[in-house]
Amino acid sequence: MRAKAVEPARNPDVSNQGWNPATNPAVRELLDHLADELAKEYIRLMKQAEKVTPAIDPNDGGHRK
Amino acid sequence: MTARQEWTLSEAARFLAEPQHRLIYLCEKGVVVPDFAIAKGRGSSRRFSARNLLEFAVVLKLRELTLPVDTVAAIIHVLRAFETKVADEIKGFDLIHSLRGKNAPDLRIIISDGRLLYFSLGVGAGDRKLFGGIDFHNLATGKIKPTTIRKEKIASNEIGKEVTRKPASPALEFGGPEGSKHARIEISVTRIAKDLPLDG
Repeated sequence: MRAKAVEPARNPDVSNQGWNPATNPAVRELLDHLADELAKEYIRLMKQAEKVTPAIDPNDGGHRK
Repeated sequence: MTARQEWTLSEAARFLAEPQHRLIYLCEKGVVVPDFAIAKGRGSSRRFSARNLLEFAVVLKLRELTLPVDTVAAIIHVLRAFETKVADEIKGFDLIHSLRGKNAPDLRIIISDGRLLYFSLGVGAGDRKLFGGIDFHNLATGKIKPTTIRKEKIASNEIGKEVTRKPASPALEFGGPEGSKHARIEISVTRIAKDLPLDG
């Protein structure tokens, strides 16, 4: 049997619903806003971890006392 | 640190234990954009970064759960935009290495009741924050414009606001912080990133 290069188009699970961010600027804008909020929180968590976690000694196998 | 920087299509397929045509399909749909795509004459050569491998791994997991391609594309778009925005603030930031690091925030994707997209972020067993609440079905049918959804859905789901778990009740025990009624899918992007065998 010959291998197919694409998944079958008849499968409703793969149909294009018209709101792919690659083709819909309004959807992209909405998703970018969500990404922005996520980024702010991620940065906050990273900074928080830096404060809480003491420096890791690479000569100690990465373990902290 | 990851030693390798680039993977060819066949290498990526082997790495992910997936047939090449599935990866090609996801590229052609614009779900995963190869970081090192090179056009050569009439053909093209796709080369993938470690970030692409993480994207594929997340996508394949979501597709395993039969989420539509457009839903998956939206999720990957958020992950990409999120990484870009963090990198704007933190020089040299790259998502996959950050997620694989010690004490990395746990980034999760939640699909609530088959139609609402959320992300959650937290560290360890501490409180998690919930983001989103985008209704894919309404977007697909055009019933609600994205700008309206941003106002009504994201704001009403208190984007960025800390989620406080309420006292257990039968309904809340099932629904998670987002309050799913009947069904929920939750995927840890952090766990997927940590499990990728990139250091070998």
